[in-house]
Amino acid sequence: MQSFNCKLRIDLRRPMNGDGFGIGWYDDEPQTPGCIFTSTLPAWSNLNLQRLAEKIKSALVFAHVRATTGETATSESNCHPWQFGNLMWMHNGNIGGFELIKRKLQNALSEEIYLSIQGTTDSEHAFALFLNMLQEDAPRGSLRKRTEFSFQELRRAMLATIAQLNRWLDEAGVEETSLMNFAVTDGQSVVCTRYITSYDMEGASLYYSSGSEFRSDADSGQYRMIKANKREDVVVVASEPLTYERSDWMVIPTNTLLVITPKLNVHLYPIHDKYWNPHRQRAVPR
Amino acid sequence: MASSLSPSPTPSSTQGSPSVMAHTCVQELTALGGAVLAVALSATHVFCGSQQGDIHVWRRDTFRLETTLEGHTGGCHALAVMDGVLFSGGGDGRVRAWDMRGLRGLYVIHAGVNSGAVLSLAVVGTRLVLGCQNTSLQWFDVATRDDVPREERRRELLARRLRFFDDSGPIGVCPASTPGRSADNDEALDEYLVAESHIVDYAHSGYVYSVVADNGVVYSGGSDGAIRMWDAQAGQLEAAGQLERSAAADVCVHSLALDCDGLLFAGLQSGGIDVWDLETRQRIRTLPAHSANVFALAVSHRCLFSASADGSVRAWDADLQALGELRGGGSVLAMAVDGVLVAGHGDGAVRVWEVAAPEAAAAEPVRVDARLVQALAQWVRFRSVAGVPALQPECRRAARFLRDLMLQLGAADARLIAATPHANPVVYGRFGSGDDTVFVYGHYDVMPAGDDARWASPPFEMTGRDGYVYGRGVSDDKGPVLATLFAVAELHAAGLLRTAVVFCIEGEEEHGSLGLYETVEAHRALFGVPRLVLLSSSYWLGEATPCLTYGMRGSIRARVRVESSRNADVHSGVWGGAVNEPLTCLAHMLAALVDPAGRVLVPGFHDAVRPVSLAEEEAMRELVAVVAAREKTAPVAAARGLDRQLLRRWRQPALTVHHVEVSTVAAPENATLVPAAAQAAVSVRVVPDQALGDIAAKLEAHITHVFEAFVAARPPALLDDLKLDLEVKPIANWWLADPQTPVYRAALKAIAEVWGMDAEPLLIREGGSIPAVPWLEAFFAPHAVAVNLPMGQSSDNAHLDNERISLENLQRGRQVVYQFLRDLTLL
Repeated sequence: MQSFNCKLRIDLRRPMNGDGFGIGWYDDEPQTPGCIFTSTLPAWSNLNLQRLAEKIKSALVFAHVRATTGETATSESNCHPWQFGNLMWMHNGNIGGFELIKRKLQNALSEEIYLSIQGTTDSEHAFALFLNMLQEDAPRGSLRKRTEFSFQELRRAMLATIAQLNRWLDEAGVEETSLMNFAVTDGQSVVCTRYITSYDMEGASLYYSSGSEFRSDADSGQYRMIKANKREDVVVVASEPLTYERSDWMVIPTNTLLVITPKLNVHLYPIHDKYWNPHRQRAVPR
Repeated sequence: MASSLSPSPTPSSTQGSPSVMAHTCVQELTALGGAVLAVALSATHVFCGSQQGDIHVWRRDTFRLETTLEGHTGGCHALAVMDGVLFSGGGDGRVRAWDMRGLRGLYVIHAGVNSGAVLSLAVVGTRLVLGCQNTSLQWFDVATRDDVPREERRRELLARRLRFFDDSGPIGVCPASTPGRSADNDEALDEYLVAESHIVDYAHSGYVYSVVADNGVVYSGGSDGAIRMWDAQAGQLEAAGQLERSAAADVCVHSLALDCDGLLFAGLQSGGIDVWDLETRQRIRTLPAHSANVFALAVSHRCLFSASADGSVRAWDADLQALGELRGGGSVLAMAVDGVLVAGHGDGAVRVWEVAAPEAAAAEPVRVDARLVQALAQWVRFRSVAGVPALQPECRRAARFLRDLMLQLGAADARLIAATPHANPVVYGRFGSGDDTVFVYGHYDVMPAGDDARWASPPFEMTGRDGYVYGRGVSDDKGPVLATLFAVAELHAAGLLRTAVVFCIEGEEEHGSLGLYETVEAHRALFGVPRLVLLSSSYWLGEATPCLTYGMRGSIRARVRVESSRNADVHSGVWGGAVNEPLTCLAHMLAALVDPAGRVLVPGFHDAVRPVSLAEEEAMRELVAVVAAREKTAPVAAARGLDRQLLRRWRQPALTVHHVEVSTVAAPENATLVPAAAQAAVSVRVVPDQALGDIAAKLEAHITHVFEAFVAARPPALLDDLKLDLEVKPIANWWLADPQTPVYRAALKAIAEVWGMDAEPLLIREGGSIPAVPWLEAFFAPHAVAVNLPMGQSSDNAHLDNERISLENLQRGRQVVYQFLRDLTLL
């Protein structure tokens, strides 16, 4: 629904995300890279997507619908998610004034990571920076060959990525705000952010829902999150709620990092930097 | 009275191998609204919060569903009690307050914006602490809740709109899939909000699954695996440190509990239980308690109880030694312990366990109802089916159990008496002294269980389910016998017995009361002069209306056998037409017994039937009106023409052909042989004023006459002769009491008072027969009046599979007997 009728896009002129889409998923084989299918067709008109969606079963799925930003090309290499080894990455938002820091970013990357970049987007470059941070954090051989990461490592690298981007943006004197809703996974843990480089504005929307089962109601056909015990067996994170069940969806507060651990525990961490504003949280969330 | 009926179940807390915790699942309550997420107990009720958001409330004594508290639009995740007020935390981000006595909603508290589910609740003084899904801790002071004016609260609630859900987008807003449970129809109740200043954001980095409080300190546990402490003294929640668990471990804390020894227990996702010393803030142990999530912990009687997704509840003594485990059903999500242990399961079942903890307060008096149910459970274990040689020892054991119980309960005399070889003994017991007596009649033998596979639980293991206890004999007649015995013992102990009570509990009732009359005759002196013959061996007409039985039909049984003088089957193709056919003859005779309208064709059969008076018809119509108003369930309420039907069942005689058998060597499907003999079982129910002997004689004469006419009409050339073998046996006389006599008035009054009825209980008759009743009345004439006090409901399934009696009926039955005998003046 977010491809053709999104309600919470900050850019309200176009309630569309029609510049392609991508799906990434992991199969049953543990600690092996996932698979990605991208297309520049709008998600609603891709028959292959419908056919694949019918048959593919996976315990962890990344999905993205794209609206291009920053004059980048509508090409398959610019469709989210991207992968590197076991890792997968996607981004909702845009890094304001990215062209002013792109070169700096590329220069900072290790050779292996630099060479892995296929497309031209700010999002993919942010992934490259994240990989670099992860590599620096634990320089143990090739990042590409590592099969798993602790959620703490992923969280640290994510925070370091945002901090580094902010430093470069400040150095470059960029005033445009950036929306950095990132998501990364190694197939075991997931780390997401809802982040904006602003003290008082809300970030691009991000919601989550968790419970025992996300199931369609026999009568209405509507999906509901079933909470049958104090344990989370399903966690959904989405830019907009997937249903209109109000109590099923929680807002991820602006400038917060969400972790889904391998045992499906959901953690939320405030991102304490100069944009941290605890009182924004009490404003009516969007 | 004896202090305890069962051998002391208290396990010793000896070191070494874990002793087994004594345990009985006293009741299992069926799923009503998905998984049970929270459980709370009051002195009188069990409260269970369901996945659907409703709170189901059962009575603790009868396990009847008292009410369902509705309001939450998301699951009910937590329950807490403060001064007679129950608080429920919902998946809808609200806490609802309920009056625990009145069982109604009081007010609603909205957690902060975007709090998600209220997953846990704790009480600190007048403050309620909420653990929320969005990692926050919040608090609400109940005492000052009205400080913010209602108008201001309303305004703030209205301001809480979410753009996605509340503002029209490009194609409008879709309705949620659960209409009719709109989250916004709480107008009837006062609504409050948790003030922003009372919210600790990011109290954890995960869902706050658990909060407990003690001495002004709040402890919280979350999906981030942390246990944090908060000082609640100063009116705020000040962070007061954290119990360090390994940050690397991905193990969430589901549950917390405090004991009085300064220990904090944390139930973990891994199945372990961390034990923390709060003084040193050190983890002193991790108990490898379970194989999966420890969803609930409770401390009671200095014991720790843990409930887990692995389906077990385990117990630990004060020295952290394992005491044993309770198993039954699937994962356990919630638990409360207070005298009993209530476990709420993932499949929605609720199990109530008796737990005997070490060092349990043995001085606590066990309620008489609990002892009654306990004794019944023990008595049901004896498979006392009469007439089965292999079970004769069981009958004897059942009799001895009752005798011992009578002695324990203070009987002046109790013994087994018998006057007939082979028959099971009668259990005789006496409370009080004196010649005038109340004679209690009942029986300890039971019907065979029949097909075990048709029973939901083993027939000779009493099992509690949804307010009933199930087992062979619980309703017919072991339950009512014990209820009567306990009532008499209680009266006796209180010095309230006006006359002596003698018990005559036979062991052959379902087997033709073999030897009963001989035994009573032989021991007549033991029974004194009975003024009242009291029994409880019938059922209510329906489910909800207490009844008193004042009449029963009598019964005659007959066996009709027709034999050919040839002693073997012959082929119908070869011999058909040339031989007599016993089955044809029998069919002819049976056809001559009743006409299609059901009228018995035996000459003179109906002559003595008392005409139905206008008053009787009127009474019947009144009864039907009462039944229609009170009985909501089939079959009674649904029956059309119930008055005419009841007249036929209670007031009119009837003749029934039970079965027809042929004596043949052929397989049943062989349709080519002429059998050598055929027989039928016939019975007659007689009513006032048919004389038993007279009707039996008329039946015999009629059958003989029809047979002779048949034989006379056969052609003379047939090869064989027919012989009639007829046995007519009067079994029971009809019985009819006068419900206007003082004894009946007293019984009606007792029933009405105990059941809190504003109208009189239903006076009913029964179509069936209990031979002993008219016999005893006649034997002890002219003083004795029989009263049959039904305790069970029509759905009790006496004689069938899944026999049961409701605990409420059993307990109130005991009270009825108590009041009846207490207030009765017989002389």
